[in-house]
Amino acid sequence: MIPPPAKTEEDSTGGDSRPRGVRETPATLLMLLPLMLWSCATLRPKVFQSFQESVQAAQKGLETEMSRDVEWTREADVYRLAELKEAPLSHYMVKETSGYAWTMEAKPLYWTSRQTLRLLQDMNVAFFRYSQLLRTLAAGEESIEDFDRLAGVLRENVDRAQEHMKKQGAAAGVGAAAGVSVTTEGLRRFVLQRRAKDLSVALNDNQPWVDQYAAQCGRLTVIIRADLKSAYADQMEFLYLRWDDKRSPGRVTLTRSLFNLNDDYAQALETLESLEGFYARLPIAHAELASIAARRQKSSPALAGLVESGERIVRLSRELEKIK
Amino acid sequence: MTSPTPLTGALEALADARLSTLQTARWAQEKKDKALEKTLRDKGAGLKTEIDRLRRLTHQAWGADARHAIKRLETAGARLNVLSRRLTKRRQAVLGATRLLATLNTILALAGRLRMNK
Repeated sequence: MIPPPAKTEEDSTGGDSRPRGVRETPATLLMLLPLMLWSCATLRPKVFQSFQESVQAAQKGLETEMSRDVEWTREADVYRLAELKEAPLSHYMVKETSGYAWTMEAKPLYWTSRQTLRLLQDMNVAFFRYSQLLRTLAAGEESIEDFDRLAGVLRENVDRAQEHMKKQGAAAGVGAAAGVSVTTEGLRRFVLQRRAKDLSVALNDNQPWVDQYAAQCGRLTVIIRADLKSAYADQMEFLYLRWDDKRSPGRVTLTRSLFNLNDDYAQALETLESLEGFYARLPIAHAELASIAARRQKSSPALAGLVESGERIVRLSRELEKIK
Repeated sequence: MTSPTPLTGALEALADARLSTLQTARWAQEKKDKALEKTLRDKGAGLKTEIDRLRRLTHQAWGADARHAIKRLETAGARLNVLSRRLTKRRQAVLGATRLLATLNTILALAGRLRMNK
C-alpha cells in the first residue's frame, strides 16, 4: 500500500485546539488498525471450511471402498466354505464366551478386512475432529471453554485410534507405528491470543501427524486395490464354473452378474485412483494452510486440487449408488 | 502416487498371476485342452491360498509401520512382480504351456518362501 503524503502539523490537526496527545490518538489508532486486523482478524475461514469438507468427502469415499473390500471378501468366503466337501463348520462356531469376549477357531478372511475398516473409521473420526477444530478456530467463534472441550474429544479420539493401531500391529507381530500424535497446546495459545502466527505454528507442529495419517490412507488405497483384484478373480472363477453347469442360473443371469462385476470393479478403481491422489495432496494442503495463516501465501494450489479431488470422489460415489 | 510396500506389491503381483492363470484356464477350456485347464485350475487354487495368507498379513501390518518391519519380503515381492508380468506376457503370446507352468511353479515356490520368511 502506498503511504499517504506527509502532512504538516497544521494539516493533520485541522486547526484543532485540543492538547497534542489527545489530538494524535485517533490518527495513531487509524495507523495501527491494519496491523491489528492483520494479526487478529479471522483467518479466511472459507479456506479451512474447504479443507474440512474435502477431508470429509474423501473419508466417506475411502470407507465406502473399504466396505466394498469387506463385502467382496465375505462373498468369496461364503462360496469357498459352501463348496468345501467336508467343511469344518465347528471351526466357524463361537466358543469360549465370557462376558463380551469370545473366541473362534478359524476366523474367515473377511474378518481381517472388517478389523481394518474399524481401524480406518477410528482414524477418520480423529482426523475429522482435527479438521473441524481448525475450521471453528479460523471462524473465530470459539471460547476457551469450548476449545478445551473439543480438544479433549480430539485427543480421546486420537488415543483410541492409536490404541487400536497398536493392537493390530501386535497381532501381526510387526510392532506399532511410529509414535506421532496430535498436539493442541499451540491451538490453545491461538484461542487465547488470536494471533495468526500462533495458528501457523500450531499447524506446523501437527504436520508430522497429518503426514502419517495421509501416508496410511494412501497405503490403504493400494491394499484395497490388491484385495479387489484378488476378490474379482474369486468371483470371476465362480461365474466361470457356473457357466457350463446346467443346474446353475441361466446364462443371461450370469452374464448380467459378469457385467455388474466389471462395472463395479472399474468404478472402484477410478475412485481409488482419485483417493490416492487426494491423500498425496493432503499433507501439502495442510502445510499451505499454515502458510496462509502466517500470511506467507494468499492462495493454496494444493487445497484447490484437494477440493477438486473431493468433489470427484463424491461424484463417483453417487454414480456407484445409481448403478446399484 | 503411493509406492506399494513390499507386502502390498507382492500381494498385487500374486493377484495378477491368479487372474492370468484363471484367464488362461478358461482359454484352455475353450481350446478343449482339459489337461492344461485342470493343471492351471490347481495352480490357481494354490495361488489363492498364498494370496489369502498374504492378505491377512497385509491388513494386520497396515496399522504398523510395515515398510521397515518386513524388509525381508522386499526381494521376494519384487521378484514376484517380475514373474507375474512375465506370466501375463506368456499367456498373451501363448508361447506354450510348459514355459507358462514353469513360471507359475516358480511363483508358487517363491510365495511359499515368502510365507516362511514372515
